[in-house]
Amino acid sequence: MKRVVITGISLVTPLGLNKDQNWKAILSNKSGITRTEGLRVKTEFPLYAGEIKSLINSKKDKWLQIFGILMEDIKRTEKVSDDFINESCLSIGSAFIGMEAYKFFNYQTFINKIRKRWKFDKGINFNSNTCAAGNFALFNGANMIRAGSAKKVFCIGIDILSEYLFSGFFSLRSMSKSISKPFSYGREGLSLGEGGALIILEDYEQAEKRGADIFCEYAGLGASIDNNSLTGMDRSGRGIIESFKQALNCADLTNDRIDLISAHGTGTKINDEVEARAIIDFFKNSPKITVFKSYTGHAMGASSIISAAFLCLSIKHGKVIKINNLVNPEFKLNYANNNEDKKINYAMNNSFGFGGINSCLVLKGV
Amino acid sequence: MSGIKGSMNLSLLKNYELPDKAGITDKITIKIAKHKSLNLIKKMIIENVLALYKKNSISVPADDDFDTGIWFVSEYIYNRQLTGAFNNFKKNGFLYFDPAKFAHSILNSFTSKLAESLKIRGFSNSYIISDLNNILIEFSSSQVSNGIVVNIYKDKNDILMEVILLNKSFIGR
Repeated sequence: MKRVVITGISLVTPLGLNKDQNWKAILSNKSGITRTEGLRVKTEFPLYAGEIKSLINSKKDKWLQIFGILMEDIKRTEKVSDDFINESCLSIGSAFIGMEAYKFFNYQTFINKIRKRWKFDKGINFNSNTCAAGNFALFNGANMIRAGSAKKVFCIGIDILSEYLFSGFFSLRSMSKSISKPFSYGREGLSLGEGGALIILEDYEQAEKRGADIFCEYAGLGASIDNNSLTGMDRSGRGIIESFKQALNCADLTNDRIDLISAHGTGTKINDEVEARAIIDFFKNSPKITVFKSYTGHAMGASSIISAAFLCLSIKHGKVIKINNLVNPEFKLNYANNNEDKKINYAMNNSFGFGGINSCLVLKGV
Repeated sequence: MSGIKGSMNLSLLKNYELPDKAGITDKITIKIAKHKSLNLIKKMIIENVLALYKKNSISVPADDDFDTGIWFVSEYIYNRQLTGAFNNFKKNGFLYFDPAKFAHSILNSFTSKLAESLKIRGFSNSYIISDLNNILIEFSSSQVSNGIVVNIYKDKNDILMEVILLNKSFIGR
Protein backbone atom coordinates (compact mmCIF):
# COMPACT_ATOMS: atom_id res chain seq x y z
CA MET A 1 0.00 0.00 0.00
CA LYS A 2 1.29 3.48 -0.86
CA ARG A 3 2.34 5.65 2.08
CA VAL A 4 0.57 9.01 2.32
CA VAL A 5 2.28 11.95 3.99
CA ILE A 6 1.35 15.50 4.93
CA THR A 7 3.56 17.98 3.09
CA GLY A 8 1.73 21.27 3.50
CA ILE A 9 -0.44 23.01 6.07
CA SER A 10 -2.26 26.30 6.16
CA LEU A 11 -4.65 27.64 8.79
CA VAL A 12 -7.12 30.51 8.99
CA THR A 13 -8.73 30.78 12.44
CA PRO A 14 -9.45 33.49 15.02
CA LEU A 15 -5.83 32.96 16.10
CA GLY A 16 -4.32 34.07 12.79
CA LEU A 17 -4.47 34.12 9.02
CA ASN A 18 -1.63 31.71 8.31
CA LYS A 19 0.10 28.66 9.75
CA ASP A 20 2.85 30.52 11.59
CA GLN A 21 0.51 33.01 13.28
CA ASN A 22 -1.73 30.15 14.42
CA TRP A 23 1.09 28.03 15.80
CA LYS A 24 2.68 30.97 17.59
CA ALA A 25 -0.67 31.94 19.16
CA ILE A 26 -1.55 28.45 20.33
CA LEU A 27 1.95 27.92 21.75
CA SER A 28 1.39 31.01 23.86
CA ASN A 29 -2.04 29.60 24.88
CA LYS A 30 -3.85 32.63 23.52
CA SER A 31 -7.59 32.04 23.07
CA GLY A 32 -9.39 33.18 19.94
CA ILE A 33 -12.81 32.98 21.60
CA THR A 34 -14.13 36.44 22.41
CA ARG A 35 -17.38 38.36 22.60
CA THR A 36 -18.92 38.50 19.12
CA GLU A 37 -18.90 41.78 17.24
CA GLY A 38 -20.19 40.86 13.81
CA LEU A 39 -23.74 39.68 14.59
CA ARG A 40 -26.69 41.91 13.80
CA VAL A 41 -28.98 40.46 16.47
CA LYS A 42 -29.69 41.05 20.15
CA THR A 43 -29.79 38.18 22.64
CA GLU A 44 -30.47 37.88 26.38
CA PHE A 45 -26.84 37.17 27.09
CA PRO A 46 -23.61 38.13 25.29
CA LEU A 47 -22.46 35.60 22.73
CA TYR A 48 -18.88 34.33 22.68
CA ALA A 49 -17.34 32.73 19.63
CA GLY A 50 -14.13 32.18 17.73
CA GLU A 51 -14.77 35.02 15.31
CA ILE A 52 -12.17 36.13 12.77
CA LYS A 53 -12.20 39.85 13.54
CA SER A 54 -10.46 40.93 10.33
CA LEU A 55 -13.25 39.34 8.26
CA ILE A 56 -16.22 40.73 10.23
CA ASN A 57 -17.11 43.21 7.53
CA SER A 58 -17.28 40.61 4.76
CA LYS A 59 -20.91 40.78 3.73
CA LYS A 60 -20.60 37.95 1.24
CA ASP A 61 -17.99 35.56 -0.09
CA LYS A 62 -16.35 35.16 3.33
CA TRP A 63 -16.14 31.42 2.67
CA LEU A 64 -14.30 32.08 -0.59
CA GLN A 65 -12.07 34.68 1.02
CA ILE A 66 -10.89 32.07 3.51
CA PHE A 67 -10.35 29.61 0.65
CA GLY A 68 -8.21 32.21 -1.14
CA ILE A 69 -6.19 33.07 1.98
CA LEU A 70 -5.46 29.36 2.58
CA MET A 71 -4.34 28.87 -1.01
CA GLU A 72 -2.13 31.97 -1.09
CA ASP A 73 -0.54 31.04 2.25
CA ILE A 74 0.29 27.51 1.12
CA LYS A 75 1.79 28.85 -2.11
CA ARG A 76 4.01 31.16 -0.09
CA THR A 77 5.05 28.89 2.78
CA GLU A 78 5.34 25.53 1.01
CA LYS A 79 6.54 27.03 -2.29
CA VAL A 80 3.71 25.43 -4.23
CA SER A 81 3.42 26.45 -7.90
CA ASP A 82 0.26 26.89 -10.00
CA ASP A 83 1.30 23.78 -11.97
CA PHE A 84 1.54 21.78 -8.73
CA ILE A 85 -1.98 22.91 -7.80
CA ASN A 86 -3.36 22.03 -11.19
CA GLU A 87 -1.85 18.55 -10.97
CA SER A 88 -3.66 18.02 -7.65
CA CYS A 89 -7.14 16.80 -6.75
CA LEU A 90 -9.28 18.81 -4.36
CA SER A 91 -11.19 17.23 -1.49
CA ILE A 92 -13.36 19.67 0.47
CA GLY A 93 -15.56 19.35 3.54
CA SER A 94 -18.07 21.91 4.75
CA ALA A 95 -21.38 21.72 6.62
CA PHE A 96 -22.91 25.05 5.63
CA ILE A 97 -21.33 26.22 2.37
CA GLY A 98 -23.59 28.87 0.87
CA MET A 99 -24.84 30.36 4.13
CA GLU A 100 -23.38 33.88 4.22
CA ALA A 101 -24.70 36.53 6.63
CA TYR A 102 -28.43 36.80 5.88
CA LYS A 103 -28.39 35.01 2.52
CA PHE A 104 -28.13 31.52 1.13
CA PHE A 105 -26.14 31.17 -2.09
CA ASN A 106 -26.43 28.06 -4.22
CA TYR A 107 -23.48 25.70 -3.88
CA GLN A 108 -22.63 26.06 -7.60
CA THR A 109 -21.84 29.75 -7.12
CA PHE A 110 -18.89 28.81 -4.96
CA ILE A 111 -17.54 25.87 -6.90
CA ASN A 112 -17.62 27.83 -10.18
CA LYS A 113 -15.48 30.56 -8.62
CA ILE A 114 -13.00 28.00 -7.26
CA ARG A 115 -12.77 26.37 -10.69
CA LYS A 116 -12.30 29.72 -12.42
CA ARG A 117 -9.44 30.84 -10.16
CA TRP A 118 -7.74 27.58 -9.11
CA LYS A 119 -8.87 25.06 -11.77
CA PHE A 120 -8.18 21.75 -10.01
CA ASP A 121 -8.72 19.96 -13.33
CA LYS A 122 -7.85 16.59 -11.79
CA GLY A 123 -11.15 16.52 -9.95
CA ILE A 124 -13.11 17.77 -6.96
CA ASN A 125 -14.92 15.81 -4.26
CA PHE A 126 -17.08 17.80 -1.84
CA ASN A 127 -18.42 16.17 1.32
CA SER A 128 -20.84 17.59 3.87
CA ASN A 129 -20.53 15.50 7.04
CA THR A 130 -21.10 18.27 9.62
CA CYS A 131 -18.34 18.36 12.26
CA ALA A 132 -16.58 15.34 10.77
CA ALA A 133 -16.34 16.83 7.25
CA GLY A 134 -12.64 17.69 7.58
CA ASN A 135 -11.67 14.20 8.75
CA PHE A 136 -13.61 12.78 5.80
CA ALA A 137 -11.88 15.12 3.34
CA LEU A 138 -8.55 13.68 4.55
CA PHE A 139 -9.87 10.11 4.36
CA ASN A 140 -11.02 10.76 0.82
CA GLY A 141 -7.69 12.29 -0.23
CA ALA A 142 -5.59 9.55 1.36
CA ASN A 143 -7.62 6.80 -0.29
CA MET A 144 -7.24 8.37 -3.72
CA ILE A 145 -3.45 8.40 -3.27
CA ARG A 146 -3.31 4.87 -1.83
CA ALA A 147 -5.36 3.60 -4.78
CA GLY A 148 -3.04 5.34 -7.26
CA SER A 149 -5.88 7.54 -8.44
CA ALA A 150 -4.05 10.76 -7.44
CA LYS A 151 -0.49 11.76 -6.52
CA LYS A 152 -1.39 14.73 -4.39
CA VAL A 153 -4.61 16.05 -2.91
CA PHE A 154 -5.45 19.44 -1.41
CA CYS A 155 -7.77 18.68 1.53
CA ILE A 156 -9.70 21.69 2.76
CA GLY A 157 -12.40 22.33 5.34
CA ILE A 158 -14.10 25.70 5.77
CA ASP A 159 -17.17 26.98 7.62
CA ILE A 160 -18.12 30.48 8.68
CA LEU A 161 -20.24 32.09 11.36
CA SER A 162 -23.60 33.47 10.37
CA GLU A 163 -26.81 34.55 12.08
CA TYR A 164 -28.34 31.33 10.74
CA LEU A 165 -25.76 29.20 12.53
CA PHE A 166 -26.04 31.08 15.84
CA SER A 167 -29.81 30.93 15.67
CA GLY A 168 -29.72 27.17 14.98
CA PHE A 169 -27.49 26.38 17.93
CA PHE A 170 -29.35 28.89 20.08
CA SER A 171 -32.60 27.02 19.33
CA LEU A 172 -30.94 23.70 20.19
CA ARG A 173 -29.81 25.22 23.52
CA SER A 174 -26.32 23.85 23.04
CA MET A 175 -24.35 27.11 23.23
CA SER A 176 -22.39 28.14 26.29
CA LYS A 177 -23.23 31.48 27.91
CA SER A 178 -19.54 31.95 28.59
CA ILE A 179 -16.39 30.62 26.90
CA SER A 180 -16.73 26.84 26.64
CA LYS A 181 -15.08 24.69 29.30
CA PRO A 182 -14.45 21.24 27.82
CA PHE A 183 -14.51 18.29 30.23
CA SER A 184 -15.06 20.64 33.21
CA TYR A 185 -17.77 20.18 35.85
CA GLY A 186 -19.24 23.59 35.12
CA ARG A 187 -19.39 23.20 31.35
CA GLU A 188 -22.60 24.46 29.80
CA GLY A 189 -22.18 24.11 26.07
CA LEU A 190 -20.08 24.93 23.05
CA SER A 191 -18.55 28.11 21.68
CA LEU A 192 -18.99 28.40 17.94
CA GLY A 193 -16.07 29.28 15.71
CA GLU A 194 -15.13 29.85 12.08
CA GLY A 195 -12.22 29.41 9.73
CA GLY A 196 -10.54 26.73 7.73
CA ALA A 197 -7.49 24.60 7.18
CA LEU A 198 -5.70 23.21 4.17
CA ILE A 199 -3.62 20.04 4.35
CA ILE A 200 -1.67 18.72 1.37
CA LEU A 201 -1.57 14.93 1.20
CA GLU A 202 1.07 13.44 -1.05
CA ASP A 203 2.42 10.11 -2.15
CA TYR A 204 5.46 9.49 0.11
CA GLU A 205 7.82 8.53 -2.69
CA GLN A 206 6.96 11.61 -4.71
CA ALA A 207 7.31 13.85 -1.66
CA GLU A 208 10.76 12.39 -0.92
CA LYS A 209 11.79 12.79 -4.53
CA ARG A 210 10.95 16.48 -4.62
CA GLY A 211 12.51 17.07 -1.18
CA ALA A 212 9.26 18.16 0.46
CA ASP A 213 9.14 18.95 4.17
CA ILE A 214 7.10 16.11 5.72
CA PHE A 215 5.01 16.95 8.80
CA CYS A 216 3.69 13.46 9.56
CA GLU A 217 2.00 10.48 7.94
CA TYR A 218 -1.65 9.55 7.45
CA ALA A 219 -2.23 6.20 9.16
CA GLY A 220 -5.98 5.62 8.85
CA LEU A 221 -9.53 6.58 9.74
CA GLY A 222 -12.30 4.78 11.58
CA ALA A 223 -15.97 5.67 11.36
CA SER A 224 -19.38 4.55 12.57
CA ILE A 225 -22.94 5.79 12.93
CA ASP A 226 -24.89 6.01 16.21
CA ASN A 227 -28.44 5.76 14.78
CA ASN A 228 -29.64 7.46 17.95
CA SER A 229 -31.06 10.88 17.09
CA LEU A 230 -30.12 13.72 14.76
CA THR A 231 -28.47 15.88 17.39
CA GLY A 232 -27.88 13.57 20.35
CA MET A 233 -25.17 10.96 20.80
CA ASP A 234 -25.65 7.31 21.70
CA ARG A 235 -24.97 7.59 25.43
CA SER A 236 -23.64 4.03 25.66
CA GLY A 237 -20.60 5.18 23.65
CA ARG A 238 -20.83 2.04 21.50
CA GLY A 239 -20.63 3.97 18.24
CA ILE A 240 -17.59 5.95 19.34
CA ILE A 241 -15.77 2.85 20.58
CA GLU A 242 -16.52 1.14 17.27
CA SER A 243 -14.91 4.07 15.43
CA PHE A 244 -11.83 3.79 17.72
CA LYS A 245 -11.60 0.08 16.86
CA GLN A 246 -11.97 0.73 13.14
CA ALA A 247 -9.33 3.48 13.24
CA LEU A 248 -6.77 1.30 15.00
CA ASN A 249 -7.58 -1.61 12.72
CA CYS A 250 -7.08 0.61 9.68
CA ALA A 251 -3.74 1.85 11.08
CA ASP A 252 -2.77 -1.68 12.18
CA LEU A 253 -2.28 -0.61 15.82
CA THR A 254 -3.23 -1.93 19.25
CA ASN A 255 -5.07 0.20 21.82
CA ASP A 256 -1.91 1.04 23.79
CA ARG A 257 -0.12 2.86 20.94
CA ILE A 258 -1.87 6.23 20.81
CA ASP A 259 0.18 8.93 22.59
CA LEU A 260 -2.09 11.93 22.10
CA ILE A 261 -5.79 12.42 21.38
CA SER A 262 -7.21 15.63 20.01
CA ALA A 263 -10.66 15.23 21.57
CA HIS A 264 -13.89 16.42 19.98
CA GLY A 265 -14.44 18.16 23.35
CA THR A 266 -17.22 20.56 22.43
CA GLY A 267 -17.98 21.42 26.06
CA THR A 268 -21.57 20.16 25.97
CA LYS A 269 -22.70 18.02 28.93
CA ILE A 270 -23.47 14.82 27.07
CA ASN A 271 -20.84 14.95 24.32
CA ASP A 272 -17.92 15.35 26.70
CA GLU A 273 -19.23 12.69 29.06
CA VAL A 274 -19.76 10.07 26.34
CA GLU A 275 -16.39 10.81 24.73
CA ALA A 276 -14.52 10.76 28.07
CA ARG A 277 -16.07 7.45 29.15
CA ALA A 278 -15.34 5.87 25.75
CA ILE A 279 -11.67 6.94 25.96
CA ILE A 280 -11.36 5.63 29.54
CA ASP A 281 -13.01 2.31 28.61
CA PHE A 282 -11.08 1.72 25.40
CA PHE A 283 -7.51 2.96 25.75
CA LYS A 284 -5.19 1.03 28.04
CA ASN A 285 -2.29 3.49 28.15
CA SER A 286 -4.10 6.68 29.25
CA PRO A 287 -3.16 8.84 26.24
CA LYS A 288 -2.69 12.58 26.69
CA ILE A 289 -5.84 14.57 25.88
CA THR A 290 -5.87 17.98 24.21
CA VAL A 291 -8.73 20.09 22.75
CA PHE A 292 -7.82 22.57 20.00
CA LYS A 293 -11.42 23.84 19.87
CA SER A 294 -10.84 25.35 23.29
CA TYR A 295 -8.76 28.01 21.45
CA THR A 296 -10.61 28.40 18.15
CA GLY A 297 -14.25 27.58 18.93
CA HIS A 298 -16.22 24.92 17.12
CA ALA A 299 -15.96 25.70 13.41
CA MET A 300 -18.47 23.03 12.32
CA GLY A 301 -17.39 21.30 9.09
CA ALA A 302 -13.94 22.88 9.37
CA SER A 303 -13.36 21.91 12.99
CA SER A 304 -11.87 18.47 12.43
CA ILE A 305 -9.41 19.58 9.75
CA ILE A 306 -8.39 22.60 11.85
CA SER A 307 -7.70 20.21 14.75
CA ALA A 308 -5.90 17.82 12.38
CA ALA A 309 -3.66 20.66 11.17
CA PHE A 310 -2.76 21.63 14.76
CA LEU A 311 -2.16 17.95 15.52
CA CYS A 312 0.25 17.66 12.57
CA LEU A 313 2.16 20.66 13.92
CA SER A 314 2.18 19.13 17.43
CA ILE A 315 3.64 15.90 16.04
CA LYS A 316 6.19 17.74 13.91
CA HIS A 317 7.38 19.96 16.78
CA GLY A 318 6.96 17.37 19.56
CA LYS A 319 4.64 19.67 21.55
CA VAL A 320 1.46 18.91 23.44
CA ILE A 321 -0.77 21.98 23.79
CA LYS A 322 -2.64 22.42 27.08
CA ILE A 323 -6.44 22.55 27.10
CA ASN A 324 -7.72 26.10 27.44
CA ASN A 325 -10.33 26.86 30.12
CA LEU A 326 -10.18 23.42 31.76
CA VAL A 327 -11.70 24.22 35.15
CA ASN A 328 -12.22 21.45 37.71
CA PRO A 329 -12.20 18.49 35.29
CA GLU A 330 -14.96 15.93 35.71
CA PHE A 331 -13.43 12.76 34.29
CA LYS A 332 -10.25 10.80 35.02
CA LEU A 333 -8.48 11.55 31.78
CA ASN A 334 -4.81 12.36 31.25
CA TYR A 335 -5.47 16.04 30.41
CA ALA A 336 -2.85 18.33 28.94
CA ASN A 337 -2.72 20.81 31.83
CA ASN A 338 0.38 22.53 30.51
CA ASN A 339 2.22 22.72 27.23
CA GLU A 340 4.83 20.02 27.23
CA ASP A 341 7.54 18.54 25.04
CA LYS A 342 6.71 14.99 24.02
CA LYS A 343 7.67 12.65 21.22
CA ILE A 344 4.39 11.74 19.56
CA ASN A 345 4.51 8.48 17.61
CA TYR A 346 0.76 8.15 16.99
CA ALA A 347 -2.02 10.67 17.53
CA MET A 348 -5.77 10.53 17.05
CA ASN A 349 -8.18 13.25 15.96
CA ASN A 350 -11.77 12.66 17.15
CA SER A 351 -14.77 14.23 15.50
CA PHE A 352 -18.41 13.36 16.10
CA GLY A 353 -21.21 15.13 14.27
CA PHE A 354 -24.95 15.64 13.87
CA GLY A 355 -26.66 12.59 12.55
CA GLY A 356 -24.57 10.44 14.90
CA ILE A 357 -21.56 10.29 12.61
CA ASN A 358 -18.34 9.32 14.41
CA SER A 359 -14.85 9.61 12.96
CA CYS A 360 -11.32 9.11 14.31
CA LEU A 361 -8.28 9.98 12.23
CA VAL A 362 -4.90 8.45 13.08
CA LEU A 363 -1.66 10.30 12.28
CA LYS A 364 1.87 8.92 12.63
CA GLY A 365 5.10 10.74 13.40
CA VAL A 366 7.91 10.31 10.85
CA MET B 1 -8.04 10.58 -11.62
CA SER B 2 -11.02 10.83 -9.33
CA GLY B 3 -13.72 13.34 -8.53
CA ILE B 4 -15.57 15.46 -11.01
CA LYS B 5 -14.61 18.82 -12.37
CA GLY B 6 -16.84 20.76 -10.07
CA SER B 7 -19.92 20.55 -12.26
CA MET B 8 -23.39 19.64 -11.00
CA ASN B 9 -23.71 16.19 -9.53
CA LEU B 10 -25.08 13.93 -12.26
CA SER B 11 -25.50 10.23 -12.86
CA LEU B 12 -22.78 8.21 -11.13
CA LEU B 13 -23.21 5.36 -13.58
CA LYS B 14 -23.29 7.32 -16.83
CA ASN B 15 -19.61 7.32 -17.68
CA TYR B 16 -18.71 4.26 -15.67
CA GLU B 17 -17.69 1.09 -17.51
CA LEU B 18 -19.73 -1.94 -16.48
CA PRO B 19 -19.22 -4.79 -15.75
CA ASP B 20 -16.55 -3.68 -13.32
CA LYS B 21 -14.30 -5.30 -10.76
CA ALA B 22 -15.23 -3.02 -7.92
CA GLY B 23 -17.98 -4.95 -6.22
CA ILE B 24 -21.25 -3.69 -7.70
CA THR B 25 -24.00 -6.22 -6.93
CA ASP B 26 -27.01 -4.46 -8.41
CA LYS B 27 -28.30 -1.03 -9.40
CA ILE B 28 -31.50 0.76 -10.22
CA THR B 29 -32.43 4.21 -11.59
CA ILE B 30 -35.84 5.75 -10.86
CA LYS B 31 -37.51 9.03 -11.69
CA ILE B 32 -38.73 11.09 -8.74
CA ALA B 33 -41.88 13.15 -9.18
CA LYS B 34 -41.21 16.87 -8.96
CA HIS B 35 -42.22 18.69 -5.77
CA LYS B 36 -42.07 15.46 -3.79
CA SER B 37 -41.31 16.31 -0.17
CA LEU B 38 -37.94 15.36 1.32
CA ASN B 39 -39.70 12.90 3.63
CA LEU B 40 -41.37 11.18 0.70
CA ILE B 41 -38.06 11.05 -1.17
CA LYS B 42 -36.50 9.35 1.89
CA LYS B 43 -39.38 6.88 2.00
CA MET B 44 -38.95 6.15 -1.70
CA ILE B 45 -35.22 5.50 -1.27
CA ILE B 46 -35.84 3.10 1.62
CA GLU B 47 -38.51 1.19 -0.32
CA ASN B 48 -36.21 0.82 -3.30
CA VAL B 49 -33.22 -0.30 -1.24
CA LEU B 50 -35.41 -2.92 0.47
CA ALA B 51 -36.70 -4.07 -2.91
CA LEU B 52 -33.12 -4.45 -4.16
CA TYR B 53 -32.23 -6.34 -0.97
CA LYS B 54 -35.14 -8.71 -1.56
CA LYS B 55 -34.22 -9.23 -5.22
CA ASN B 56 -30.65 -10.11 -4.22
CA SER B 57 -31.59 -12.13 -1.11
CA ILE B 58 -29.83 -9.67 1.22
CA SER B 59 -31.00 -9.26 4.84
CA VAL B 60 -31.32 -5.93 6.68
CA PRO B 61 -28.31 -5.68 9.08
CA ALA B 62 -28.80 -6.68 12.72
CA ASP B 63 -28.67 -4.00 15.47
CA ASP B 64 -25.04 -4.73 16.39
CA ASP B 65 -23.86 -5.11 12.80
CA PHE B 66 -21.20 -2.54 11.82
CA ASP B 67 -20.44 -4.19 8.48
CA THR B 68 -22.59 -2.07 6.15
CA GLY B 69 -21.93 1.50 4.98
CA ILE B 70 -23.87 4.17 3.09
CA TRP B 71 -22.69 6.75 0.58
CA PHE B 72 -25.14 9.52 -0.27
CA VAL B 73 -24.49 12.03 -3.07
CA SER B 74 -26.77 14.96 -3.81
CA GLU B 75 -26.24 18.59 -4.55
CA TYR B 76 -29.99 18.78 -5.24
CA ILE B 77 -30.95 17.66 -1.71
CA TYR B 78 -28.24 19.87 -0.12
CA ASN B 79 -29.63 23.00 -1.78
CA ARG B 80 -33.25 22.06 -1.04
CA GLN B 81 -32.58 21.35 2.64
CA LEU B 82 -30.75 24.61 3.27
CA THR B 83 -33.12 26.74 1.20
CA GLY B 84 -36.12 25.35 3.13
CA ALA B 85 -34.52 25.83 6.54
CA PHE B 86 -33.26 29.29 5.66
CA ASN B 87 -36.78 30.38 4.67
CA ASN B 88 -38.04 29.15 8.05
CA PHE B 89 -35.24 31.08 9.79
CA LYS B 90 -36.13 34.28 7.91
CA LYS B 91 -39.85 33.86 8.63
CA ASN B 92 -39.52 33.10 12.36
CA GLY B 93 -36.57 35.31 13.21
CA PHE B 94 -33.37 34.70 15.15
CA LEU B 95 -34.95 33.75 18.49
CA TYR B 96 -37.70 31.49 17.16
CA PHE B 97 -35.95 29.36 14.57
CA ASP B 98 -37.33 25.81 14.69
CA PRO B 99 -34.51 23.54 16.00
CA ALA B 100 -35.86 20.59 14.01
CA LYS B 101 -35.67 22.65 10.79
CA PHE B 102 -32.09 23.57 11.64
CA ALA B 103 -31.08 19.97 12.38
CA HIS B 104 -32.70 18.78 9.16
CA SER B 105 -30.87 21.39 7.05
CA ILE B 106 -27.67 19.37 7.21
CA LEU B 107 -26.93 16.92 4.41
CA ASN B 108 -25.81 14.07 6.61
CA SER B 109 -29.01 14.34 8.65
CA PHE B 110 -30.71 13.06 5.49
CA THR B 111 -28.18 10.22 5.23
CA SER B 112 -28.53 9.51 8.91
CA LYS B 113 -32.29 9.04 8.61
CA LEU B 114 -31.71 6.55 5.77
CA ALA B 115 -29.08 4.76 7.85
CA GLU B 116 -31.45 4.55 10.82
CA SER B 117 -34.28 3.05 8.75
CA LEU B 118 -31.95 0.59 7.01
CA LYS B 119 -30.03 -0.22 10.24
CA ILE B 120 -26.70 0.84 8.76
CA ARG B 121 -24.06 1.52 11.43
CA GLY B 122 -20.67 0.80 9.86
CA PHE B 123 -19.92 3.84 7.72
CA SER B 124 -21.60 6.94 6.34
CA ASN B 125 -20.38 9.57 3.92
CA SER B 126 -22.49 12.40 2.47
CA TYR B 127 -21.24 14.13 -0.65
CA ILE B 128 -22.50 17.23 -2.43
CA ILE B 129 -20.45 16.13 -5.44
CA SER B 130 -18.40 13.03 -6.09
CA ASP B 131 -18.11 10.22 -8.62
CA LEU B 132 -18.47 6.46 -8.62
CA ASN B 133 -14.75 5.82 -8.99
CA ASN B 134 -14.09 7.77 -5.80
CA ILE B 135 -16.87 6.01 -3.89
CA LEU B 136 -15.65 2.59 -4.98
CA ILE B 137 -12.14 3.46 -3.80
CA GLU B 138 -13.57 4.53 -0.43
CA PHE B 139 -15.66 1.38 -0.18
CA SER B 140 -12.58 -0.76 -0.84
CA SER B 141 -10.60 1.20 1.78
CA SER B 142 -13.35 1.14 4.41
CA GLN B 143 -13.83 -1.53 7.06
CA VAL B 144 -17.33 -2.50 5.84
CA SER B 145 -18.12 -5.47 3.59
CA ASN B 146 -21.43 -4.17 2.19
CA GLY B 147 -22.37 -0.77 0.85
CA ILE B 148 -25.31 1.22 -0.47
CA VAL B 149 -24.80 4.19 -2.77
CA VAL B 150 -27.67 6.64 -3.28
CA ASN B 151 -27.40 9.49 -5.76
CA ILE B 152 -30.14 12.06 -6.41
CA TYR B 153 -29.59 14.47 -9.24
CA LYS B 154 -31.26 16.74 -11.73
CA ASP B 155 -31.09 15.79 -15.39
CA LYS B 156 -32.61 18.55 -17.50
CA ASN B 157 -36.15 18.74 -16.08
CA ASP B 158 -36.15 15.42 -14.30
CA ILE B 159 -35.13 14.45 -10.77
CA LEU B 160 -33.54 11.02 -10.83
CA MET B 161 -32.42 8.61 -8.16
CA GLU B 162 -29.77 5.91 -8.50
CA VAL B 163 -29.36 3.17 -5.93
CA ILE B 164 -26.30 0.92 -6.17
CA LEU B 165 -25.54 -2.08 -3.96
CA LEU B 166 -21.93 -2.97 -3.21
CA ASN B 167 -20.34 -6.09 -1.77
CA LYS B 168 -16.63 -6.69 -1.26
CA SER B 169 -16.86 -10.36 -2.19
CA PHE B 170 -17.66 -9.18 -5.72
CA ILE B 171 -14.43 -7.21 -6.02
CA GLY B 172 -12.15 -8.64 -8.68
CA ARG B 173 -14.73 -11.00 -10.16
